[in-house]
Amino acid sequence: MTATAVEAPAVREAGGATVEFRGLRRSFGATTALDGLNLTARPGELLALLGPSGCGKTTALRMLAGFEHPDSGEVLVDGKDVTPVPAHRRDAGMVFQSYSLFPHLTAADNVAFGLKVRGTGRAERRARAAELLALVGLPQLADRYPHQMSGGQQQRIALARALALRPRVLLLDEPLSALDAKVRLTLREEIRRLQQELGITTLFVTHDQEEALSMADRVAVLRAGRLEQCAAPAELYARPATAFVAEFVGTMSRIPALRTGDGLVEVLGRRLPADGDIPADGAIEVLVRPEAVQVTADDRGTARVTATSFLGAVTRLTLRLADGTEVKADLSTEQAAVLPAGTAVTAVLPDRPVLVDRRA
Amino acid sequence: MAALTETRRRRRPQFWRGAVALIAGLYFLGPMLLSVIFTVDVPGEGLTLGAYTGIVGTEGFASSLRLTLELAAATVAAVLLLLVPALVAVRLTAPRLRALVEIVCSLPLVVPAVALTAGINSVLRWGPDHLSHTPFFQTINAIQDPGFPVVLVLAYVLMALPLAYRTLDSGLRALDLATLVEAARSCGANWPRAVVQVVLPNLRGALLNTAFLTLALVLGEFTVASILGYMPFAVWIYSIGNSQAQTSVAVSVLSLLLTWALLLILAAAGRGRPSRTPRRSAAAPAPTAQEIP
Repeated sequence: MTATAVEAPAVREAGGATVEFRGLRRSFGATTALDGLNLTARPGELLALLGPSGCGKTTALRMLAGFEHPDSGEVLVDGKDVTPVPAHRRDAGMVFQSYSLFPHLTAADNVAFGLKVRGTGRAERRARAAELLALVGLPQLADRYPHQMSGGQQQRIALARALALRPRVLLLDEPLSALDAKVRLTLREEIRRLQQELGITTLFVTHDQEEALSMADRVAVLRAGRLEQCAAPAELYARPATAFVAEFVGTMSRIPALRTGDGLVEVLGRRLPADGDIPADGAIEVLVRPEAVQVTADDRGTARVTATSFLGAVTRLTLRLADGTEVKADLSTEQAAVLPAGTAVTAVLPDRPVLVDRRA
Repeated sequence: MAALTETRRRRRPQFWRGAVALIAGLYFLGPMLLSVIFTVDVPGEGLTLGAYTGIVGTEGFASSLRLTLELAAATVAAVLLLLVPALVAVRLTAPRLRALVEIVCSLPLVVPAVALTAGINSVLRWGPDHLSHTPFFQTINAIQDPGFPVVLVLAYVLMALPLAYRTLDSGLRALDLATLVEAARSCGANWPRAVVQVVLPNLRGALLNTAFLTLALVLGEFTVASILGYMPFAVWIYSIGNSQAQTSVAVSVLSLLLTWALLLILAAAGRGRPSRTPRRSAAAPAPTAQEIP
C-alpha cells in the first residue's frame, strides 16, 4: 500500500480531541449495558475498547456518536458535554461493522456525501473526494458502486467517508469483523497508519484481543458495563489489574497454590512473591502465561505432556500436573520436538512475582 | 458416450421449455389475438380500423379515461405518502409494531370489494337531519363529487394497501435501514435529509413497483366504481360493450396496450440508475477483491 502521505497535511489540521466518558449508565429493559463507565481518551491516541459481547463497548461508542443517550452521566469532548447535541452535529466520523456505504452512490459520491450535506461546492467536493480516495489507496475505484467492490474495499471507502468532514474523533465499530483474515491484517495496519498520520483521536471497538493489542496505544478492557483496566498493550499483558483482564487478554493457566505465611505463595515447588494482594481466605490459585512456564524432560517428573499443538515458531504443550490441573506451556518448536505427548516432565515458574486469585 | 448423455440432458429441458412456452403463449396471447381480429375484421367490409378510429369520437371516452388517470395518480400518491413514512418509522423506531402494521395492511384482503362498497354506500346515505347544516354533511357531499370522487380514492387506497405493503416491505427488507440512516447522520445529515437522500433513492425499485401495482389496480377496478355509480374507464368499457360490441373490445385492447405502455415506462424509469441489489454474476470488469484487499 503506497498511499500518499502527501495529502495528509490537508486532513491533519483538525487535530485530535480529548474524549471523556463520565459515569455513563444505560440499561435496555432488564439488561444493563453501561454501569457507570469512566474512561478518557487522550488527544490523538487510538484507544481500543475491548471486551466480551454485551460488555457495553458498542453502547459507549454509540453514545459518543449520538445514536444512544445515557440514562445518566456525561460524554465530554474537549471538556464540553455533548450529550444534548444531535448525532448530525457531533463532528465524529464513524465506520460501522456492517457495510454501510450508500448503495445508490459511487465511491466518490459516498465520500463526498457529507460535504454535499454541508453545501460545499461541486468542484471542491470532487477534489476532496479524490484526495481521500488516494489517502485510503483506492483512487481507481471512484466510479464504482458498492456492490462492485469487495468487503475490504468497501470498508476503506467507509473510512474515507468518515474522514471527509475532518472530524475531531474517529469511531470504529468492529470495522474488520466482517472481513476475511488476510484482508483484516492489511486493513488493520492501514487504519493504524492513517490514524497516526492524521493524529486523530480514535476509539476502536473490538472483541478481538489480538486486534486491540496490535493496533492501539491503549486498551480499555470492559466487563459488564464497567472499566476493568485501561493501559498500554504491553502493560495490560504483563501486569493485568484483575483476573478477568488476565484471562481475557492472552492465555492464562490457573495452578493451585498455597500461602506460606510470610507473604509468599508456594506453587510448583517454589516460593514466589505475589504481584498484588493475596486473597485473605479460601483456596488460591496462581495465574500463569504459557510462555512463563519452563518445561524440562524428567523421568521422575510428576507432570505429563498430554497434547502438543504446533503454532509455527512455538509449539504449545498441554501438561497435566499430578493433581490433574491442566497447564499450557509455550516452547520453541525445536525444544518441543523432544517432548512428545506422554513424556514425563517437570514444570517450574521463573523467579518473578505471580498473579494470585481466589480459586474460580 | 459422454457426449451423448450430454446432448440428451440438454435436449430434454429445452423441449419442455418450448412446450410450456407454447401453452402459456396460447393461453395468454390467443384471446388477445382473437380480440384484435374481431375488431379489425368486419363482415362484409374486410379489414378496417374503423372500430379504433371510432373510439375517440365515442361519447364518454375522454372523460372516463381522464377520470381514471386522475384517480390513479391520486391513489398512488396517497398510498406512498401514507405507507412509506409509516413503514420507515416503524422499522427505525418501533420494530415491535411491525406485526400490527402488517395485520392492518392485510385486512382489506379479507373484505370483498362488494362488501366494502356496501359499507361505503350505507355510510354515505346515512345523514341524520340534525347534521344537515354542519361541515360533516358538506364533507360527505364533497367527497362524492362526480367530477372527482374522493370516496373512490379512499376505497382504492384501502384496496391497494396489501399489495403496497408487501412490495414496500420487501424493498425495506433488502436494506440495512438503521445502519444507512446512522451513517447518513454521522455524515451530518439530519433525520428528514437522511430519509430523502439515502432511504428513498435506495427504495426506488420498491416505490416504482408499488406505484405500478396500484396503477394497475385502479385501471382495472370495476366493482366499487360501478356500484357507487361513477363512470371511470372500466365502467365505461362495460357500458358501451352492451351497445357496441366491437368498439368495446377495441377499447379493451387499447387499455391493455395502455397498461403495458405504463409498465414499460415505469420499468425504464427504474433502470435509469444501477439497481441496489448486488449483481454478482454481472460484476464489473477486473480489479476486484484479489488485487486490492
